[in-house]
Amino acid sequence: MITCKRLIEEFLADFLDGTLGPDQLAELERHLSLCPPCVAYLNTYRKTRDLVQKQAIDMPPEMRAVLRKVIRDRFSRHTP
Amino acid sequence: MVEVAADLSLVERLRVGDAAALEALMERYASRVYRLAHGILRNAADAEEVVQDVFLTLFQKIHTFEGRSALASWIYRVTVNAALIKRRGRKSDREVSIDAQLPSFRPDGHRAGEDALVTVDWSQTPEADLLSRETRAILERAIDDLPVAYRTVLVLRDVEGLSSEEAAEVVGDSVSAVKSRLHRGRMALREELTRHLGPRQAR
Repeated sequence: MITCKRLIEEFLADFLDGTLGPDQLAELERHLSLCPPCVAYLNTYRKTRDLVQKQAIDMPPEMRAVLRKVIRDRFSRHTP
Repeated sequence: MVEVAADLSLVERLRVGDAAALEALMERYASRVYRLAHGILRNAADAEEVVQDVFLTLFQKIHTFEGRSALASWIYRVTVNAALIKRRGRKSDREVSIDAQLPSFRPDGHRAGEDALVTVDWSQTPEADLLSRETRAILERAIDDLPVAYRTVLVLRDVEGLSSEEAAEVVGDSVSAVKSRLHRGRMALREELTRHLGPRQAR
């Protein structure tokens, strides 16, 4: 059976991408059925990815207004 | 397809120096440019400067855009380059070697470390706690600690939602390099989050 190290380092990312081959997928699923720490790892790895997505900083609305002004001021003479 | 057609017409207008097209481009892409710049540079003031630099650059260099890649890819690439140049001028650097942040393994292939932390599954922690100011601050610092190449790929893939192929095109690297960098970045963040969220759960 594959080790936790192999699962985590080599199989996990492709598994989440859905690109793991059928043989590797079978090995991964077998390992997970017998290894609670790896199940925990998979769940927390997935959750980490979700949290990163929610962490994204959006552009403040004031900044958009400033940017509009900068572009208009800088390029007002460039309209054909 | 509608977006591609709209992008192409903007490109044509920019090529003939139509400044109103630049404003339209800004409305369409400024959020993405800002999120990526902020993801790389980690502060609003630097990110704001980069956003301005990027749109001025896009207008000046539109003649170099050959349409071989999607317009969005080109804009992301200009953004990464502008952010990295701005970063070079900054002295403060939180970066920690990526290897020091990755999980370690015992000779038998099991994860090394305190039993409680190796087995803890904090993924079911209530959202309110995961999105608390404290946890967000921990994640923010952990992202700060990633080497910039890892952070860049993380933002492109997990925040901006680019595919591995698109991200590879933006950073000018192979798909396998991008996949590896993303995975290692996520693993490092997971370790840090587990150090803080794990002990709470294991109690």
